[in-house]
Amino acid sequence: MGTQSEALKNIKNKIRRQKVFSQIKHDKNKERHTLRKERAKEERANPELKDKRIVENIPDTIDSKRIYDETIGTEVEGKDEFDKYFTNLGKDPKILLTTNFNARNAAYEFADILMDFLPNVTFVKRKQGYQIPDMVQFCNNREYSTIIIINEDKKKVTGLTFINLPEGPTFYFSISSVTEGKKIAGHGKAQDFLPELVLNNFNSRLGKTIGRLFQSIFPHKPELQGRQVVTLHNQRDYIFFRRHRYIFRNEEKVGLQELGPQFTLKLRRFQKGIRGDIVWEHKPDMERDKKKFYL
Amino acid sequence: MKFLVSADDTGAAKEVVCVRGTDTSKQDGIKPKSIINYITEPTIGLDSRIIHLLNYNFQYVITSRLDGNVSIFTIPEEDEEENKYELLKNFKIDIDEEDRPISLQKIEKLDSILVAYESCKMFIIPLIDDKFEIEPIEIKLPKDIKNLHALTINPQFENILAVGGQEQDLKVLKFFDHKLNSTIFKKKDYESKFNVEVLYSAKNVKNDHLDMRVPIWITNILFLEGTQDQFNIITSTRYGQIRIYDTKHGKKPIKDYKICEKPILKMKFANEEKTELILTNTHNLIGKYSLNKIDDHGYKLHSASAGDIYIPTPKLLGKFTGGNTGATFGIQVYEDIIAVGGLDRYLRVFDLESREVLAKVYLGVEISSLLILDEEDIDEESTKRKRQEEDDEEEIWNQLKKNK
Repeated sequence: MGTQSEALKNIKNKIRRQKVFSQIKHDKNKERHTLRKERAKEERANPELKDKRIVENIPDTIDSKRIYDETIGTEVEGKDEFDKYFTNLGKDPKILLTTNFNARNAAYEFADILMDFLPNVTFVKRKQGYQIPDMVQFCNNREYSTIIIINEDKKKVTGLTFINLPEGPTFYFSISSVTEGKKIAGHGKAQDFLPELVLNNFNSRLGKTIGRLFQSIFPHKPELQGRQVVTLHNQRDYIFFRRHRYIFRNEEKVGLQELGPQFTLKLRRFQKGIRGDIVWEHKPDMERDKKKFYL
Repeated sequence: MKFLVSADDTGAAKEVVCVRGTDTSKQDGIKPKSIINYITEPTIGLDSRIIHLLNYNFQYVITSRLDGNVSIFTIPEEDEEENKYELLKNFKIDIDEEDRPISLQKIEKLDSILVAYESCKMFIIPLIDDKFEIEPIEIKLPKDIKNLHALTINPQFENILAVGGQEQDLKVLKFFDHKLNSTIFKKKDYESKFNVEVLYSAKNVKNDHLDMRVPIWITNILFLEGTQDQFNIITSTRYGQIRIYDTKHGKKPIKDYKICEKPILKMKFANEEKTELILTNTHNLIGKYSLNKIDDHGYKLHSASAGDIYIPTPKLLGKFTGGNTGATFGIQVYEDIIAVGGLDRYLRVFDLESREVLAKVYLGVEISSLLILDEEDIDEESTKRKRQEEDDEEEIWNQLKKNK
């Protein structure tokens, strides 16, 4: 290749150089395609070859090249603040949903979307003069288990704060790519059943805590007859929210229908207590290394 | 190197043995020699986690737990395998559920330790002989002292201590006569010997440029060198300030520096001359600051009415990072190394001068306190010993030659 590019550089006429270059590319493409055709022919005749190739030829992805994280696969030691939810199986979560104050319409519309799938949720319009510690005290007196605060800025929903009660921790996620159910092609109509929960790829120590947070929002026993699933899929520190209805068509085939909404969360801050000491905070220079992930 | 680190999630403590260069975050890095859970008595759990660890002259490890238990453990000898950190005695101190221990310090003069709580309860526990029969002696602080967050004993004169807290400005107290020593516990009336006397109470700084009162919230107190009746004290606050007081020089601080916007959590001296400080805040800062070099324009405030206001700050000599993401609670400086640990569940060891990471160990538990038990690498020690032996041998040969 080196000599070829050197040779290309020696062509002084730009138009001719471009022509030669495109010819080289075209030839390479052609070669690749003929190779593929031949390979496909061989594999049609002998399907084992294809299986072998698929097993052997695993492409590298950013995910697979993830920088080693020693917290993955280690046992979680001791207890945390979510322990109450996991030990007291008789008690289901109770959620208070509110917005930032002076919220615009977007926040209320998003609150509507959230209330569609959040169980046992009460929406309270945010009034001026009530700070987070006041709200926490109010909720602790009424046995709420979580506060969710929608953050709206310039007519866009930008963030979600989760506060586990009674004593924290607090999580702040930024939110993007919100699509309501109606806008999804082929969407179904959700019904009022408690959903099942699928948590994907919350592997690191920090990820496990985030997983426990989402677990603690939903009741222990889903209503299986609803066949509704909420999925929180973590990939490269972005958490994708999806909701589906499934159906077992026969013993092998499963049908999926998306119910919506769709949105993407990204952890920005994780604090002990009610917005107390920082445990983890996203910093722009964390994005510099593309293969380092925290969740 | 050997460390004892409190494990908040489990309520126990972990002993970590590692060498310089240990890094668990690298797949092929050097792994720590051992991480073993100890100190699981008398109670264990998140609600009774260890808040303070104290190394009493390499004789005992003393723990102060969130639920008011103060326990005394042995420190094992180097090659001891069994009965490590054996519980010798436990004192259950009766405190409220919301109360928190704020300080655990030793009073060497009295062979005792002092444990203090946020509700201003303060106890002296004598460590006389091996039986620890004397119950904790409660010392009543003056009634106007409340919401304590910091309490420090003057290392020069151990009968003097300084307190401070939320809306509680600095006070220097004398709590026993300097002539007393540990023999008083042999007499019967030892409880009457402890009387608190206020020697100095500070006054808040001037109102700010908007004529607003500056709030008070002291988080740490350190004593600089002083004399029997004149003390030099440094305090740190939850509003990111550092203040230096001279008790002979008025009630207001002689120096008032602004370090950062975030609350300062821990403050320690970085060298024996007490000219450098290590500070941590509720974010991921672990910084070394100089008390001699002052940056006059270190902190800038802009006011519409008063224009630009410059507040002097101590010069930042460097930050300790190593990938720290959370608030740091456990910190100890020992000889030329510094060990830190906090909410991000790592124990990190740095070189004090170069700030290089010497060891980074993932522990899987949040850390609120730690002790450096041994600063030298085990391998290093044995090689040192060998070298010394060789030197000795050479000397013998040389002497023999001379004698000939």
